[in-house]
Amino acid sequence: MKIAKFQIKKAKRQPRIDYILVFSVLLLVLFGILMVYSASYYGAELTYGDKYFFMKKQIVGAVLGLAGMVAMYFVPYQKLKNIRWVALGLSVVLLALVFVPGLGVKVYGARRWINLGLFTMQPSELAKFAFVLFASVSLSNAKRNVKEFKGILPTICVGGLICLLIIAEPNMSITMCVGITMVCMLFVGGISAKHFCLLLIPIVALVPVLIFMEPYRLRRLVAFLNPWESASGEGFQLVQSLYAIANGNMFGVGLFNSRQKYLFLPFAESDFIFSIIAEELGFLGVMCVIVLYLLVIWRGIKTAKNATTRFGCYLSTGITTIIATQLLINIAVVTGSIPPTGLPLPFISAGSTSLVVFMSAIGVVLNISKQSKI
Amino acid sequence: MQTKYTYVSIKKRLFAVMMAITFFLLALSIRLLVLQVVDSEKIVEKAYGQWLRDLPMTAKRGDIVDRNGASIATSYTTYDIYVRHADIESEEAVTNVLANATGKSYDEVFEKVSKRGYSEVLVASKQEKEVVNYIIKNYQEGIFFTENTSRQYTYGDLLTQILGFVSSDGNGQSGLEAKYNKYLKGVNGLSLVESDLKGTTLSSSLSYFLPAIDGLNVQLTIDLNIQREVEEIIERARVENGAKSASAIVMDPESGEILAICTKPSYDLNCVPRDDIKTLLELSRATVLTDVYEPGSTFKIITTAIALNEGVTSVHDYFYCGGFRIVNGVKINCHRRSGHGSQSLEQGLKNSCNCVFMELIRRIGLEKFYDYLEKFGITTGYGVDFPGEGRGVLMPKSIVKDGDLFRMGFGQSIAITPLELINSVCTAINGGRLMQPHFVTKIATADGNVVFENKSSFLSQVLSPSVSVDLNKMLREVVSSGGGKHAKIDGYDIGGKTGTAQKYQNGAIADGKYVASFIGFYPTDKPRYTVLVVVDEPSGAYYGGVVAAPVAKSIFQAIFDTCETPRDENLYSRDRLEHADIKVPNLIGKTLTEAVRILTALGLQYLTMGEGEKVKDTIAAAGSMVSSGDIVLLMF
Repeated sequence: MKIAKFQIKKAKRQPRIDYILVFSVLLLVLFGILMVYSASYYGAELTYGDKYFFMKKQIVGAVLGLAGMVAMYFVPYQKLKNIRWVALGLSVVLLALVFVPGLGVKVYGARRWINLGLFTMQPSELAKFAFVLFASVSLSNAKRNVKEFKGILPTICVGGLICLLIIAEPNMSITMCVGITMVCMLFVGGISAKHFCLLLIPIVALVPVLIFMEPYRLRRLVAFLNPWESASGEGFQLVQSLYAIANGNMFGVGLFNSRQKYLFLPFAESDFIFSIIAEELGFLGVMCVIVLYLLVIWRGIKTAKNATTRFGCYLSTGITTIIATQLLINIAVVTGSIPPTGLPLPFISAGSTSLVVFMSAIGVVLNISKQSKI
Repeated sequence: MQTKYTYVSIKKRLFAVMMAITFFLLALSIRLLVLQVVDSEKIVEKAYGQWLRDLPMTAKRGDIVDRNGASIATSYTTYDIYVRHADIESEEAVTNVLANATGKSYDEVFEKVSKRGYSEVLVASKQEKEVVNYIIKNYQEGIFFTENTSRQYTYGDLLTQILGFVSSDGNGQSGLEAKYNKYLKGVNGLSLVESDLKGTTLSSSLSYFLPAIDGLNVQLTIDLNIQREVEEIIERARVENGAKSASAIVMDPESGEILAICTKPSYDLNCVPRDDIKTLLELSRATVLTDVYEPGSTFKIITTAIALNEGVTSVHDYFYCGGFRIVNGVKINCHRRSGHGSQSLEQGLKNSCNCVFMELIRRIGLEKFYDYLEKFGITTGYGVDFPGEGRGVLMPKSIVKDGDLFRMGFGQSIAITPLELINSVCTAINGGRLMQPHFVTKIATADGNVVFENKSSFLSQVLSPSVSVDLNKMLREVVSSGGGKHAKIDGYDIGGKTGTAQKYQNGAIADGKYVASFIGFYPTDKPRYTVLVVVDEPSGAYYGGVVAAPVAKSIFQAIFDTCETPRDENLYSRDRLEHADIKVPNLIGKTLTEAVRILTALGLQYLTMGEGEKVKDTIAAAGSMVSSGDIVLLMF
């Protein structure tokens, strides 16, 4: 009762928008459009005869993403609880559809996209947020049971299923992302230390298994350990990324002046856009970008902390964790700190599905923050 | 309370998550700092290789010309024309330009121009400069050239082993091409342009350009007029004698300049047989410069020269030959078993009597003899401007027995290169001056700046000039009436000496394998040409006087023809008289038909003069002596 009254009192106040979060995200998105253009215009001109090809797609994604963000800002996040099964079901179906010939689009040996006629999308982008939604509901419902195994079982099961479907595509990086997010959410959800350890052991053990299952992963791992050995083979992409980053030096070669975007660095506009940013804007430039991300993460965690409900807290934690995980993995990959795996940089990398989903998720965080008690 | 506990727990845990994220971001930032600032230079250095595309700017290899400036080897610049599909704006326009320029059909060119999936497609290779000029005038985006130089030898199979061949990347591999490679090669230029991964030049590209410096032209001592004749004569000699190989060297004894040099068999330098490396290497060896052989009797010139210089003999000296000489209990034969009897030094040379030279070398002695060989440069080499100059092989002084020394006197038990023989003979006949044999007179840039000039090749005074005066007179007799008479050309004052040497294989005399040689020079009073002919393993006749001397005669004849050396008319008449052995018959009163029949039968030619039925008189008169082929004038 006391809590309810408190909430009503807060609700009467002017709805507050987390401006820091909004501006950080919009800045990242706009910066992303600029960098997608810079990184892609040469290749796009050669391949599609239109140097704005990727930029246009990115603008469309940003507009749709903004719409999604605004919409989610106005939809009370509590309502999302009701669609958790729908979201989860849809995600699982879409993930399964990837394997249907004709619908699933195979790119570089992996079926990650489905062709929806008008556009192609990556179901895994949606699935990770569906999982976050489901886990938030499940953990908040579990309440004190979270200390017991049955309280965390649904989260682990659903997380495991999603991971299994994504790794089957195969897509190691989003699997990692979902896995880490699951661990973080369980941790924040109050999982006991014993369970936490029991959970980490199989996850850590699974990594080498997955690596040895697919020969290309092993080759990448070897290439990662000494990329210069195989600079024209497996290590090519990593070496090209390092060239770009190193060429940036402290202040960068200047916007649009990257040398590595001239077809040297594959996926310069998507998974490796961070390298181009590093080349054009230098160490100082990337530090600014990292600070912007830290702001987003900080606001996300703060929103979780101040959320009025456990559900809101977990939801914000999950969304923030996904952003942070993707950011960390992406930078780690392009700097050669972990073996290469394709994962877009949130808000910046070319890719409309990713952009729409991430921006909508920020809308959800904004809504949680709007309803927060402070 | 319970709620509060949980709330605090969540706060702590969220803080832990935030800290973990911040920690990892910080770690990655440090990694970025290392890559971007600390190690930046080291990494970027490696990247330049892919950012810049190197367009070759090959320097033109220098020409090789003969002593008169006539071309022996040149290099042509040719162009390969490529299209790079990624850069093409209009396939039709590019095709039109290229088809017009190269004379190929539109369809043929279009097929290449429209080919996708390759970064560059070769449209035409080895094109002339004019083709490229046309394309540049009508330039379309997407067309590229590369420059290539190809070596062209004006006569192909000429001076093969001496010139050597050039590898496909333009480096001399053997012979003079290798020896003078650093001058001929020039300095390749450099042109760097910024390009993308596929090599497409970036529009905003910076380029770095360093022009090529063409190679220098090398002028040889070779006289092409003589060389070309020698090539033909030697090839003919090799074939006619069924020899393993045949070689010749023509030198100017005054200067040490090599005027012509040839070894057959050889191959066409424009068509190097690279498939068969073994044969190629075998045929590429300039054996006259690198390989030693036992010179045989031609070496007697050197023995004589040393003996004259030492004063242990003179032109008035007399020797006795009984057909052999017993040295320390071993019998060494003269080639004439019945012996030559008593003979002068000159007769000894004419007869090539071994006994005479055994006696001469006995008088010289081992120590002096070896000293002289060193002075002649036989043991030290001359520093010829040719890779792999050979040195004479002498027995170590300590193991030389008298028998060995005596054999050396007539050119056995000693092995020297043909070049060493000819150069030693040059020294003996030119007034005792040892010259450095050489191939190159001058190295100059294309616009005539002389970089190197071989001005003096004088090495040392080995013999007193008077030795040559006596020696040359005697050697002249060897040709005019001795063993070398097959090299005699009427009206020309040629001196020389023949040689026939048995070949050794694995330390033993190889049965039936001989080296026939002849060394001659002209004129004897002041020699200008020295000719050495070596026929290796002739089948059939193997005497130097029979096999090699006529070859030398042909070479002398070629030299006189090409260098327009007039014969000495007095000498000519004397020479003709000397071997006039046909008595002119009495033809007076014969009819023309009868007279012609008689003269033809005798091997004489005729001319007629006057009108009449019967021959009134003849010139030369009946009873006088004429030579075969002479003309008898019939007067009616």
